[in-house]
Amino acid sequence: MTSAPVLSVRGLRIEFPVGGDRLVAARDVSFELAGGECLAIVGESGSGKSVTCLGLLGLVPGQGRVVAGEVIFEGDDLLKLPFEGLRQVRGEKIAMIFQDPSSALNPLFTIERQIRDVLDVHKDWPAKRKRDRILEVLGAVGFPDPARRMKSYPHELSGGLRQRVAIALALACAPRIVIADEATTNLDVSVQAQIIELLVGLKDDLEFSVIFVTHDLALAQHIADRVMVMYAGHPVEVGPVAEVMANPAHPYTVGLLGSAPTGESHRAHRLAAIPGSIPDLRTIGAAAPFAGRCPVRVEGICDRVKPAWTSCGADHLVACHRYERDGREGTTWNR
Amino acid sequence: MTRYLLNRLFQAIAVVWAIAVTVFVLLRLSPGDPATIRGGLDASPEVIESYAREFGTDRPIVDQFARFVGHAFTGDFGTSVRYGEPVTSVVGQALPHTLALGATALLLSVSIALAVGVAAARRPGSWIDAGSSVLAAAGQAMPTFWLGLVLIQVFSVQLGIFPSGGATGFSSLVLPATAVALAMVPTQLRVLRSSMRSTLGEDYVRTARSFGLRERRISYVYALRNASLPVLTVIGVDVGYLLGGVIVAEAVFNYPGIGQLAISALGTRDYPLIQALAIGSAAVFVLLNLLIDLLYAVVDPRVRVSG
Repeated sequence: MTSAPVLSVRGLRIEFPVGGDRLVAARDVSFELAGGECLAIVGESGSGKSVTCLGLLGLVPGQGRVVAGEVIFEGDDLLKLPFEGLRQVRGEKIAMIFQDPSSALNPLFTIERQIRDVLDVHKDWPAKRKRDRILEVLGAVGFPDPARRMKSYPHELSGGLRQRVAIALALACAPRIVIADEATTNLDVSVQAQIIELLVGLKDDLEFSVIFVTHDLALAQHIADRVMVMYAGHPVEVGPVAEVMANPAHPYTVGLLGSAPTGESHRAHRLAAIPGSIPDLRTIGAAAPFAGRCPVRVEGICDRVKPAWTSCGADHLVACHRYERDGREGTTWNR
Repeated sequence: MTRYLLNRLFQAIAVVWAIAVTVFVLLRLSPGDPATIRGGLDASPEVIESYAREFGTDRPIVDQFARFVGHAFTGDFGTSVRYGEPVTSVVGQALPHTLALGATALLLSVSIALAVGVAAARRPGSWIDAGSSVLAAAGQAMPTFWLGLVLIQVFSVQLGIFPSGGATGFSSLVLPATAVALAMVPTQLRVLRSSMRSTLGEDYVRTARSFGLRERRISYVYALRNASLPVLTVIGVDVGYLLGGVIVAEAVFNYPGIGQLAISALGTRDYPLIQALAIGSAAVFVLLNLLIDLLYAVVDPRVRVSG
């Protein structure tokens, strides 16, 4: 698991022009992904986790731009690659699975055609081999009776089946990295479990690495080796998932864990919400991103200085002034 | 699907029937009749009466209608009062010209709308996008008869490239087809551009992009097929316009088609000819719209199931 990283991201910064301002959707995002590893990126809506993933492949939507940083993959900086080079990485080396399988697949083309189109772009294979590959990946994701049902259209399939097709699409070219962007969020809980299980199984069999984007820390615990917590475009804590769950160091992670419903707590007391709402990404500037809502902020520092990374355990880093000053005792605010 | 088809076919027949009745009655309610016009201002009542007997307009209207329907089912729409020939042969001579003009105009307008609309949608805010807005506004602002005259002035009189009128092969089609097409371009262009823009923002377009598909393929295959659905509907509506626009263009370009025929038939109250033309146009409109609905099902598999 701890082989040389297949992907290393350094200082990624993604901005969107909004009116005359610039909204910083991801700021100074850095991480490494080892071969066969699953990294979960966890955060609430608007935390920059999805846009970070899109940024890796130059897919930031609209007027958004990656304005700084590097994404090193197989010796190349993907951000400096000419467009054609980047296009060849997409889908073949790094593939994505999106949140909503009902809108992520083209409604007017059959499943077979959509997978074949991806193979057509990347593989110079004879038709027979492509057909075999389509059957193979559909079989691998547990798509029933692929030879017949690959002729179906997306609307003829259930949500769970569509997401299996989306995974098959991602696996078609045997990529080295699969990015799953909230890939199970829109599914029923029981289907969600099946899809997670499938993804984990495939990852172990086929030995690709996974970036698993989710807002659900508990889910991340099931699938991921390491977790990176993001808040308002900033990574705030990164470490092995069990370690982060057991010993959260950043006040936001502490709050996130505290706000998840647990078995015992129902009715007995209210869910511990984090007070306030996420900051305006245009004006956040050089402050600690969580400063506006943080119950344990250090007055005069957190709203002026962006915290640096501090080690807080084995392979476990946190970016927090309070932690730097008072250690874990200082940031555990809701217990 | 068969059930759907039968249902639609039945509807189409009902519409054509309703139009036949309306046209038949309205014609006879409007002032002037073929016998009086044929007789002229000084004709004696006896002469007019004999003409009325010849044309069958002296009979009760219900009787006339029954005869008309009975004959129509055998393919006989009567004899043209003005031309003294069977209506079917009169129409048969003019119809190919009009079909050629209508089809050329439709093809031309759809081609322009496709080329400009897709290019504009792919680069919002670019010069081609701005150009498409200008084209749409200009097309909407220029009436067909005026545009026809301008085209004649520039391309026939000044440059001498195309004939100013008549039906003398393909070159005589260019100017009238352009005049009709430019009036249809604006709606098609606007609808295509906006549906293409929203389609290019769809998740499956992002998916295609994330899998490394080429931009050209994404735009012209993945997105255009989805974006073409609303345009099909617009074309269905345009067919109605096309029938009217062709009449104007035929008059301006002295083009021997259905439109010219219709104008002269109205002038002489040529009941059989007017009836055949009105019913024929209605049938064409209804059939083309039926065809477009079927095309919908070909393009979009989701329609096939619900249909």
